[in-house]
Amino acid sequence: MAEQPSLEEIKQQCIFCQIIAGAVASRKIYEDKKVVAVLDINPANPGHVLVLTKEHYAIMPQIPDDDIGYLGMISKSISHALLKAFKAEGTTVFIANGVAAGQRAQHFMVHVIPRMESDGVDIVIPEKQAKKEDLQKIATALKPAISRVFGIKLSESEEKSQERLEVKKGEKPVKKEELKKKPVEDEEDKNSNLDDIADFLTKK
Amino acid sequence: MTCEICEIIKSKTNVLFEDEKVVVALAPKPSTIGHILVMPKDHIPILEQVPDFTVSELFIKANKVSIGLFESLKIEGTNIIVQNGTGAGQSYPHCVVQVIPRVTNDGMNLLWKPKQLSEEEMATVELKVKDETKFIGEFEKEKPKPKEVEETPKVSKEEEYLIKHLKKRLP
Repeated sequence: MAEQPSLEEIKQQCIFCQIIAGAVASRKIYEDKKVVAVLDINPANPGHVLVLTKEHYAIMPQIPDDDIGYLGMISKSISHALLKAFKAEGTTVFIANGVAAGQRAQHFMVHVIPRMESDGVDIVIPEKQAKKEDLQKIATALKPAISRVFGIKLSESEEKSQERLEVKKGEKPVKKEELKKKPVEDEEDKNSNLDDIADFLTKK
Repeated sequence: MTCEICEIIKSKTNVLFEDEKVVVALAPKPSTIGHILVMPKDHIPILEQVPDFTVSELFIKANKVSIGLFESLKIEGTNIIVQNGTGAGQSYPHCVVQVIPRVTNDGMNLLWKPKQLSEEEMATVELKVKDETKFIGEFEKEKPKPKEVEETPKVSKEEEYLIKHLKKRLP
């Protein structure tokens, strides 16, 4: 296995870590212990701000809750500042997690973009009509995973009893037919179930 | 008042999680499977009006939802977006954080065309923004829940004065 580059080496190669360190010039508009906010040099609109964590995190799931919450509050404040500075008609707060979502840098950031009606910025989230039953199916399929991420943090010793805990926490008892259809604990099954539902959204 | 989001919260339509401040539910008109809305329980239209401590919770929860989606769907990324104000295309009269599952070539294009600004323009923008960011720093913390003591009936100014005097006369 190839040796993992050290955090120092990663930081050396990360343009945003260099910006934070001041080794690369930027237009900093805010800085505190945890975050730095700079103007994007390729803005969607004038005043497009990037809120960066001082710590090098490549992706959002690595960031501790406290810091995520703090980023949120700072983004709100930046949004407010932009509304005032440009008399904007709105702001878009945008996070891209992963290349497929449009993440280009290996350093986590929150975009805050001042917006005007018909400013030509194409961030339009498509909306599709979905059937009630389909949405319910999706909700049922996602519930275990979502519950898990919001679940009580388990210590190693408690890990084993996780299954039991989940059963206890689970709300309504599942109907017999539903149980036959899909065992809730099986990840593979859950995925294929969602694939079955998948075509309703892809159909035009 | 009919707010689509308040309706979802009230009727618990496809709600996946909720606590005192935040509700997580499926988007009624999803862009894709697993499109989720994270919203403040109270009817608050604009992000700036949401208390700091709730904003913090919204983002923490949006990140957790995103992790949950990674675990349960075959996806390669997520977008977390707040459309704040009509200028940004906000479609509900209620502040929501949208979590959108993404895969390569899913046909969704949420990226913008970059604009080119001259150095001079950038410098002006910097000054303008800096002028407003000076005040960032103090964040609103959640107030501890009021104690039962608040139940005491309100005293009029006259009474207050009388009480003060009475207290003064105490040995």
